[in-house]
Amino acid sequence: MIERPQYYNLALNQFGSANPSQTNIEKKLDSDAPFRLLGIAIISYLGNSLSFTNMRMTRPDRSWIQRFLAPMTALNPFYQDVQGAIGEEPGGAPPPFLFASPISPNLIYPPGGTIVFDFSNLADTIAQLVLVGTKIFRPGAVWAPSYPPKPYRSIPFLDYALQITPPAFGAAPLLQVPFDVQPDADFAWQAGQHTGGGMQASLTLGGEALASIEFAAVTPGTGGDAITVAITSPGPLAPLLITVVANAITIQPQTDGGGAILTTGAQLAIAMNSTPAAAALVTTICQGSCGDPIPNTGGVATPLTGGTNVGPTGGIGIRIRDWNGKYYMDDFTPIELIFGFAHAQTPGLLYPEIYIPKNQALYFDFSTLSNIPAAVAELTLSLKGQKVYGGQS
Amino acid sequence: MGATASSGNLANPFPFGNPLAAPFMPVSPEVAGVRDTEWDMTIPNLGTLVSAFTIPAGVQPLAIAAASTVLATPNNGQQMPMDADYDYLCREIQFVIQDADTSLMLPSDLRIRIRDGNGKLFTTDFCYASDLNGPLAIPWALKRGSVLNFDLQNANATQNITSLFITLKGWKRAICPEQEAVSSGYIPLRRRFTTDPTLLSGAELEDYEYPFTFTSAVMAALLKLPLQTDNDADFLWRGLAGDWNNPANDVTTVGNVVLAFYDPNGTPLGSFPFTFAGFPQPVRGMLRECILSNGGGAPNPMYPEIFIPRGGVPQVDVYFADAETVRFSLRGLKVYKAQTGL
Repeated sequence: MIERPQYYNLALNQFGSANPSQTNIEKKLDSDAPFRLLGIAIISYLGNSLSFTNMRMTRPDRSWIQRFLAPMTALNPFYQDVQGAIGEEPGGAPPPFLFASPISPNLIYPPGGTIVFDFSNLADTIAQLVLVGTKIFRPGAVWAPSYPPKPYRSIPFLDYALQITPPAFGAAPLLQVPFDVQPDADFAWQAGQHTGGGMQASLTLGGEALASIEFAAVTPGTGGDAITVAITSPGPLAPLLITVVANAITIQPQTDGGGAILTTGAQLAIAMNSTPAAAALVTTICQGSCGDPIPNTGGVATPLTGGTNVGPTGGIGIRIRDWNGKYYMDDFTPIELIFGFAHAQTPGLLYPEIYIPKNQALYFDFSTLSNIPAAVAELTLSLKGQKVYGGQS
Repeated sequence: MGATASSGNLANPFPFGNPLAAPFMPVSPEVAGVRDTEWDMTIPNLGTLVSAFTIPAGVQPLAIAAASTVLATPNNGQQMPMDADYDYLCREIQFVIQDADTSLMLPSDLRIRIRDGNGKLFTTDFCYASDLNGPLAIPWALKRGSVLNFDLQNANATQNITSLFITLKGWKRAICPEQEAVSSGYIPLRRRFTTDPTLLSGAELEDYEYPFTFTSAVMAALLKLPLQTDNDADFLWRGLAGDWNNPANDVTTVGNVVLAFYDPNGTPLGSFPFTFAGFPQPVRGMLRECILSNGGGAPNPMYPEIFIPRGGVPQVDVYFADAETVRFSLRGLKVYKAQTGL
């Protein structure tokens, strides 16, 4: 028999604040294989206290696992890390990691089975419940390569990196991002971590009947906050001139005989992005009214703001497909569960590990599950495991 | 992991599928002759715990008179009856306090004393909820039909606890003669490391840690830095721990730094190219928190371990961004063997 990881997701943001209690919510399982439930994980994106929200769920025979509705914080108590035994503080940001709590003994649900949930006090929860387990297949039914016959040589591999720009909240998901295994060795993927790539500092200038121009630092991070942009108000008949001194960009717009600015938003974006010194610092985008003149700052150097350095990412959902295109989850799964942040000693764990032969790949889809916290410019995933030499070619 | 039936046994056809995994992730073990079923017991809401308690030492704690719960017995502690069908094995206890503003409560505010169905104290005195919350080292056996008693104490000076959930997680145990024993295949990581008799024969093993510190006041890529090991013993490298910071901050971790390690043969243990904020060009390694454990007692595990012959030199690439110091240690075992030919 073959086991492979499986995640079933249930979004708890679909009921609305007018329906705080929900009963007989059914989660239909796939019909291709039995499901071994080994744990549950719950994440709240809105900063709700999950200790206020209660639930119970059924076994394969539809009897309840919980005698009464139990607080989600008790069923997945790692959340209490935030504030000891009390439960997490309402309104706080969710932690950037998520661990499943055991269901022990495991429960084996039949193919096409149904798990029924009751919830109370959902309020305006924006949360996601994840059923963590494995699907059970007959050998040969699914893509499931494995270790070569012994003896083989393997080494720990600490970081296969996969870097993406996650989609913004509400934007279309980012699909089919390949994770390629290098040609030197197979890779047994066992654990994951993530880190954010930081935000670019930016500055938007505009006004009524003026073009709206955004200057975004090329390099994400707080270093972008040191960049300044000044648009002068020159006299009549001035040409467009862009000067860069260290991190200070000064733009002198073209003017007519009366001193009115002639340079349009579209023209400035082209000029800035084709001036090497300026383009090395910022990317200039005209966001609207691009045929109108650009605003000026009266020559005042205005700094870019909002740059952030590497840090945790939240609110991103992930789907993973195998080499044959078969998903390991039914929907986007919180990235915090598979790729936790900040704990190299306790990373997100896959069970079982996924063995990927050299030159083969997995495919990742990304979507934003919540606008809390804000999206990041970059997301770096670290896939840990073993490199196995002597495997399939 | 692609597993074959021959990897497991009859009752559990699956091999253990991830050496880093937690104990609960593989197939649940089963005891022959009994059938266990997950069952979570909850006292749904203990209602209002009136007033705050500031009880001086030596004064008998008060039992709480809860106003409104189905299961509560006023003035005589809170009761949780066990189901009458099967005995119960509790593996985890969780107390969840609900309050209008939990930020005003502290983990030490709720104190609890528990008696089992025979009247025996489970805790010798009132214990902090934060100390009781969590898994039990040994499952707590509770007889069918018995009643647990919880005495509760609120030590917060001003804040009422408006409601309290008590949850026991565990399993009901039914007699089931047909049930055969099932082994999960779980073996702790520490016991999965080498037992090579050639290496260990006549050897004396000693926990050892090689600490290293690197500093750069400017953004820099320091490549292939040698990590010299001692020449008195071989070393089994099993984990990494460390931190990073700025000179002005010796406690918390501050700033960005990327590391890539190599084994003594020069084989990279990572080093996949990526970019990150604050560094001008792509780097080959991984960021700080993804490679260095932040818990001194629990290093980032490396499986399989790496054998470093005595005097061997693994290497590291360090890309300093706005961190100025990185400290880490290679953790593992020294393998002392009798010297020959010297």
